[in-house]
Amino acid sequence: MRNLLSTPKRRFLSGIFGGRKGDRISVANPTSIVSVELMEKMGIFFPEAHLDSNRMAELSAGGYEILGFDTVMPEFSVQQEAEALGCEVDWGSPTMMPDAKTHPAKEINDIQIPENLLEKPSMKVVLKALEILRKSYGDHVGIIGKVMGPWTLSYHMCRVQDFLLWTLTDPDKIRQFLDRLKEVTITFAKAQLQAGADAVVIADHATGDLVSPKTYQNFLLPIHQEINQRIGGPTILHLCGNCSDRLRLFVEAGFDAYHFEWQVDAKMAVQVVNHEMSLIGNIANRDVLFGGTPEDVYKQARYSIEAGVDILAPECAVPLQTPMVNLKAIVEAAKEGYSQE
Amino acid sequence: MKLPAHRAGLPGKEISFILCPLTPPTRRGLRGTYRSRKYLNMTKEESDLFYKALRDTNLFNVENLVKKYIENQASPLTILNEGLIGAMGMIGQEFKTGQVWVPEVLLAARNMNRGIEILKPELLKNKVQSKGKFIIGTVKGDIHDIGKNLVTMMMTGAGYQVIDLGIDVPKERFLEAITQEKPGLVGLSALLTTTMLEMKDVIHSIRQSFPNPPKVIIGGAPVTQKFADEIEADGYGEDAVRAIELANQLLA
Repeated sequence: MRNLLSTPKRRFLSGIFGGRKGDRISVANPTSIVSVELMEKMGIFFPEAHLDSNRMAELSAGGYEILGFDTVMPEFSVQQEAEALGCEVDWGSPTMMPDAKTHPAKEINDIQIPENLLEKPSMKVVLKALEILRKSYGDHVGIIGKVMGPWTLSYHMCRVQDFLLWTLTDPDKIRQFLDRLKEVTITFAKAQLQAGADAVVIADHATGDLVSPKTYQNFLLPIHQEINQRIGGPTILHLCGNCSDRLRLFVEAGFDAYHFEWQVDAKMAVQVVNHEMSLIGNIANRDVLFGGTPEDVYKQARYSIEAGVDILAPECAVPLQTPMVNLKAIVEAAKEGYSQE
Repeated sequence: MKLPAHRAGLPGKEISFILCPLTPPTRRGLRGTYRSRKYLNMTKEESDLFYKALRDTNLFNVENLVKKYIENQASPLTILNEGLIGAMGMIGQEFKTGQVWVPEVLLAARNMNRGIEILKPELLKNKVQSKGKFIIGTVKGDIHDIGKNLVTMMMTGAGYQVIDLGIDVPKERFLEAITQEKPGLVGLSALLTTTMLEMKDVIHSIRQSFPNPPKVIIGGAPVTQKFADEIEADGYGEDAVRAIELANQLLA
């Protein structure tokens, strides 16, 4: 048996593919772990960090340097593509995440993907940041990229409420939107892998609280299958809400890993997924990381480790007022290794 | 059937209150789930017609149904309460138990609203009194409005005069609207853990600014009863149907 300590990058890559367990579980962040405290510590703040590649790279490195996570992930918001596609984005403040203020599409022809998509400032900044991270951290830290899937992009392009209603009243329109917008997802994901990401998160918010498993199956499953085939690099699905009833569909879609929420029981998920896809999660944001104590974090982390998840992580982008000590507590729980049986 | 955790709500919470808009206040305590049909003017078959109309993607169905009932001299209040709102309650209950999802609820609310539009002239003829004024808005920094819109539609349907201030509403705008409109009730909505903290500030300002402040109820995905108690809101509703019940209680 090997008794050398694993390294952040080896741990992360192994976890993505459900491989050798090593001395302890990997701790990663498929979504943002930036908090106001981390910004203060690094002296880099939102909204600058969304739009300046050096600051973006530096702030994301804080996740490794300060919090002790095994990965760095530079795309903090969900609006980088939205601006490139013509939404007016309010980039927020240190205590406020960015939000799209306008939703320019009513019909499919309102969606025009610019030819220079990757040259648009809000896109380019992410690619540059990944290049910088690759140079500084690529030898020993996992680097995660992030793109929005076509469902999330549709929310940006029209209003969430309209889009959800169309799933019933105008399903053809939904298919047209997804079909066109998936090209943005694929193009950006490929570019991120080329720029230096080890794996790319595909965030597609057809969340368990909003739509049914059947809606996912009818509209998104074939699209996700195509996306996974065409991207070709490791993909992590981020799709929040309680998705206990559709885990097998995500396996079918061909993702290497699924980033999941506390509402989905880790033990059940491990059983259902049966190592056909890795599981990344699932420390609760609101009640534990944001509202709980380091002891609460420790308890949930140990539960997930013992359940057999492949990589430990907060369930979603953490609230900006999350205490740093709670984020560090995830890493502390992981450092205790696997439980002795 | 085991309910998914997010649909089952808080421990011990009865799903029965979803039907409460139908239940007269005096009978509300009747073990909740029990709803005797003999007090109602519509048969089960008739209620089902309204249910089907609210589930239909085609608006003509609900339009024709309401028109037919008006032509047949049905009481507008029966059409409203037992037909439209009753069917909405059924769909709300199906949402709670995980049989339908948000698109179905949005569709039903859209159809119900169209039905109410057609019914409005009849309701006015019969001089139905507004149950009170209700100001609602999503708090500053937050632009999410699905939940708020559902509450707006349901409260309108339940007979309240609703003034919707929209999204990203600063507290000054709430204070201004309260001064002008003098509502009995104010509703605050937030979807984000960051913006829900804004609610505390709004409630505080309202109570500071008015000698007889309106009651304030709150809601939104991250909001809990515990949080509502902490910031001293007058009530918390985890969905639009509960909001109506709260309003009925607080303004009684």
